[in-house]
Amino acid sequence: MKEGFLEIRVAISEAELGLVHRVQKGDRWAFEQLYRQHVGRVYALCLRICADSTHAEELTQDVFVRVWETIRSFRGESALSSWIHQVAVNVVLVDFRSQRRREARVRVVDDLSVYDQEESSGLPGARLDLESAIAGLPPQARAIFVLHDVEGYRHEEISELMGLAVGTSKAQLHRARMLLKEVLEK
Amino acid sequence: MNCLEVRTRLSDYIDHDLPSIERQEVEQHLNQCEMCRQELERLLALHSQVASLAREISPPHDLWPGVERRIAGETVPEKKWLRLLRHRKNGVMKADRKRILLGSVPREGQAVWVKRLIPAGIGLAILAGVLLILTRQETATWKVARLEGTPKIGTGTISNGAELKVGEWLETDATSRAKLNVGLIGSVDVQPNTRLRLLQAKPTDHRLALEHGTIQASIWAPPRLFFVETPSGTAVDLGCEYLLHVDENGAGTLQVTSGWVALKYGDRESIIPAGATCLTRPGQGPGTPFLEDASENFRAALNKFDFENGGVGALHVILTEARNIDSITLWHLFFRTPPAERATVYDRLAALVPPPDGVTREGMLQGNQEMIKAWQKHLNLGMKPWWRFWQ
Repeated sequence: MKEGFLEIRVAISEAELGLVHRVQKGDRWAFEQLYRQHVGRVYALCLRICADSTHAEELTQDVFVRVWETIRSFRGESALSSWIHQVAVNVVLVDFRSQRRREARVRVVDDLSVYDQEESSGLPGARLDLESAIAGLPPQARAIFVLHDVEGYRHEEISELMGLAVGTSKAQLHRARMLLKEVLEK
Repeated sequence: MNCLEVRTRLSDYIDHDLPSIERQEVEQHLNQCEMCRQELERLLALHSQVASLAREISPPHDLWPGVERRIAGETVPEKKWLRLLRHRKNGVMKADRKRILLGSVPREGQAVWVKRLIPAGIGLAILAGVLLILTRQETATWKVARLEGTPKIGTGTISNGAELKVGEWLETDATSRAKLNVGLIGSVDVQPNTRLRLLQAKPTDHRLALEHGTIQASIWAPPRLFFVETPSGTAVDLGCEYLLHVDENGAGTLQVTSGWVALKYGDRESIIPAGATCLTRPGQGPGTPFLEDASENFRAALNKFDFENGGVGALHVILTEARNIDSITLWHLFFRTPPAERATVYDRLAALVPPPDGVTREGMLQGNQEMIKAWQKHLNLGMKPWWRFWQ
């Protein structure tokens, strides 16, 4: 059973490597295939962290341009999806930091007023309410929540990626969960 | 544990991130308290909802043509000001969130750009209004009182009822001192030969830039509301009193007299408790905190280790000279030394302050989080749980 599982992994890896080799040689058609396979996951990450669909589209494009520029460095030591995901996280967090610097000049205070009842209550289905509530979280809490609870990063990894103390990551995650719980209970 | 203590730990509890002793205490409380059990269930329900979120979301329209143009080098980068205008954000704008939820983002293309000119014009007008309001809020002031001599704000001397505005400089000469009210949360005694500027005066961000000189800060608000930026690091108040000196070269000395202060520079952070001092250097950030009564040899070696690539030689002197009350220094060093030397630091620290039951050498060297927290708590170096709510 375990052997079969490994065989499947190797087979998938070989197929991916073939695609990657073609992209590395500059094959744009192959790159489009790669893009189509991974765009949903990348866009979901961008959208959830930046909470702005238009900006998420730009970030998604930035991610794939970055993938195109750096794919020569991909050696196949990890799954292609993991590597692309890591590129996406880096692009999004670099943008996040620059956005934060800009916002720091104009932001007054994070509070619950960012949640609009009219927007969450009029939507169909709990999943959309949750997406809406995540989008309404304060930026840093949102980014940490998405990385930890949605994407499965550990606090130590988030701390390194975002240049924060582990304690800050934990505190912001707790804050995000409390805010989400509160807004979803309304 | 009472309800408040348990609820502050529930997040770590569901992540299996609590030391075993605390975990048992939380579980004992949960067995007896219906309200806290319900709170836990709500958190678990949230957890389960999050787990059901889609891993993939399709963009509202095809982004490939844009990617293809860019990798072919056909596109001209978007003007930065236009990008800013389109993506101005203070939190999440309603329109943006509606687009996320309803998927009504228009398709890319030249025609769309024309259509965007009208909303862009409206956006510009709104932005101007927002900036006007925010600019007025930015002009919040802090009261300044003259204590001695003739301290100045800008080029003018301080009179009764003087106020320091955001962006203004306060300067004292060799014979003058001033007292600055930090909004409603504390005060700063500005010592002679000091030059500082008020950067932010918001309820959530009280921020000074200390170019050079000495200040004594007393803050009685929750942590992380008062910041002092210096050329070699930012002092983050964690509920405390401290003395901060910055010399003409930008090097700093922070002495904490009450509570705790964090010193940050890039990714490097030192946490300094009352009775300890920490030095900072431009381009290098904060060194390792040490107690003020540490021996001369200890301090000199620490200085070499932190700022002069003292390496193993300096580390050996530090470990030899360390007393059991120098655990704050050794604790920081444990995380800053390369893996090859980390075991040596562990051994010395363990000899001075034996770790509590359950903490092993192997576990600590492997970065076991439960063990790190347990020993940190044992050394009285842990952050108080309530701090964590004031990020």
